Parts: sequence; structure tokens; C-alpha cells
Amino acid sequence: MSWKIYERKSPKSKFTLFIGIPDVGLVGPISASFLIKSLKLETLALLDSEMMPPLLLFHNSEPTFPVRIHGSDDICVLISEVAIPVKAMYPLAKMIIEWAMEKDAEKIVTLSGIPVPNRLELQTPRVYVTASKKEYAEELAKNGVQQLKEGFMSGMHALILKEAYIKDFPAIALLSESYFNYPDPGAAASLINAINTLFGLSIDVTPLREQEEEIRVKLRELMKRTLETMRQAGKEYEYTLPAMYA
Amino acid sequence: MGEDWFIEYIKKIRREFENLLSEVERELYSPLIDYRTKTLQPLYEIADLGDKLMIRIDLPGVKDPSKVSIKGSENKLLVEAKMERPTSFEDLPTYACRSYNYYRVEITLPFPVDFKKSRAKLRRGVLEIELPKKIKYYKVKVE
Repeated sequence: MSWKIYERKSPKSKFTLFIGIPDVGLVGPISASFLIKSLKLETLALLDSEMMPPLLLFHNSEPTFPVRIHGSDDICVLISEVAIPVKAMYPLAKMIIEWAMEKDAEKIVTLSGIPVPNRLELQTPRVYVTASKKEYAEELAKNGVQQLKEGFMSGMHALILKEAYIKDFPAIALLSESYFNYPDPGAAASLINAINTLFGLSIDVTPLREQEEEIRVKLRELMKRTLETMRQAGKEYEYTLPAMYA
Repeated sequence: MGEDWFIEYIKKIRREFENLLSEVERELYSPLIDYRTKTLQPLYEIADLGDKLMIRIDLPGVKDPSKVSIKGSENKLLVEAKMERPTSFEDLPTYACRSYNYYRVEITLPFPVDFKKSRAKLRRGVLEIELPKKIKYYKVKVE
């Protein structure tokens, strides 16, 4: 039982691979989808596994896979438009790191949310950074993002960082303060602004802010499905203090 | 003959368990629309804050508090709200290819609450309802 990757086109070397998989506030897929649309990235590869529900997706009448990689010369984006079951997360993390290494990627950046209880009071959510090596996060934290110093991470981005740590591959996690169980395009906008600052891009987040309400209405179903997998992925640990902290 | 009551009792538990299971399955697998009332079902959460319950409901597109109706009974809460603009699901047959501009949700409360002392606030499309629990405390003598 593993993942298969069907490549249509190979990316050029030394690219950054951004990853947006359904999790807290759906910040990952909202950000990844916005990057794909803003940068007009074409489909490079389709991913599938027997561990996933038997789904096919249609966009503008065109059949596609719910998990796929889009890209251009120096940026690739892996997006999942479905919640990934926990048992499928481990082999997917392994496959992503192996694929990135085989294609000579420069680094991986996972995009997600970090649940905060005061999200309703925050006009502009802060963005946190952590990485497979402390030095990568320290370097990025010089540019205005907060470094995550204590606590647990769970879900796909935790597994990707773990796998990158084992393989000694540079992987970074960007986490925006967000709602836990409501789709959060505002948190995604903060994340895109952080990407602009950290990686020298200039993506205008105005369209994302303008579509905020529509995105929140239309992603309710995906949020509901994602909550089921988040319960199995140990998300409650993100509220837990590590034993060595005491 | 003396065991009949026990068999009936087991059957009753089984019926209750099956009802509970079908309610959970309905909750998990049904879409977040009610075609009968032409309304969208919002996402919500219930937090137990000790002496009160906090119900938080995500109502994107609802800006005017006067467009929100909250009705309560002993253990049920019915919330209906109108969006500023309709949201189109015209490409989605599973949403009957139409637009929606109303939310409706009926929530079963885990405790009896005092609706007369409840408060509600709408901020940035999120409705927060504070419902004080109806709790009677009895003093226990310690010897």
C-alpha cells in the first residue's frame, strides 16, 4: 500500500516545493490554491494511493486528481483538495521527500495553520516558522516571522519535517494563527504575505480578501471531512505542553 | 418466562444504540444543506465554560445582527440567519444547482440552559451565544 505519482512534466532543478494539505482552518489548501491561481502554475504530476477514497475531481469540466503537483521553473505547489486519512499520511510524507530529492528541489515549505483561541480578535494573524533544522527557522525568523520554540506539531506537516530531518533535507513549516475548525482565508492571506517577504515574491492578496466570505461558505464541507481526520491525527497534542517544558 | 423482561431490555438498548448510530452517520455523511428549507447548515462548536455554554457558529456573509434569529427551548437552539448576498452553487448538482442566502441550524444542547440570561454577539461573520447553565447546587455536610 503506497502512493503512486503520474508525472506529466518534470520540474527544473533547485525549485521550492510548497505543500498545502487540509488541516487546521484549511489554511494549507487555501494558500496553495491561491499560489497556483496567482502564479498560473500548470499541472506537473498527479498523485494517488489505494489508501485514499476512490475519488476523481472535475475543474471546468476537466478531470483531475484531488492530490497533485503544479509548477513553473522555480516554484512547485503540492495541493490536496481532500482530507488525507492518517494511515496514508506516513507513506505520502516519505514519497514527497524522496520525489523532492530525486528532482533536486532546493527546499520544501509546508503551509498550514496553528489554532489560537483569540483568532476572532486578530485582524492580522501572525505567522510562525519551524523547520527540520533549527538554523533554517532562525534564518527566516530574522524577516519578521515568529519562531516556534515549544510545543507539539501534528499532521502532514509534522511528518514531512520528521522525514526531512531523517533524510537531512531542508524543510520549513509556515504556520499562520487561525481558527481550528472554520475555513480561514484571512490566515491564508497572512501566510501569502509572509511567503512574499521570505521568498522574494510579490503576490497581491486583495483577491483572496475579496473572496473571503465565499471561500468560507464553500469550504464548509471540506472542513467537516478534515475535522474527522484531525481527530485521528492527534491534533489535541498541539494544546499540550511537552513534559520537558515543565 | 422470567427472562422475558431481560430480552426486552436488551432489545430496547439495541434499538437506542442503532438510533444513536444512525444519527451519528447522518451527521457525518449528510451534506451541509437542507433542500427542504433551502438553507445552508453552518459549522458550529459548543464549548463548556463551567457555569455556561458558549456556542460559536460560523456565518460568513452575515453582517447585520438584525438578520439573525435565535430561538431556544429547554435543550434546543434554533438559529437562522440571512446573508448579505446569496452564494452561488450553480455548478453543483449536489446543491441542486442554485444559490443560497439563508443559514439554519438546530443544535441539541448538552445541558438545560437559562435563555432569559443569554447573550449573543455577531463579529466578522461569527456568532457567539453565551447560555448560562441551569444548575442547582446542594450543600453537602462534611463531618
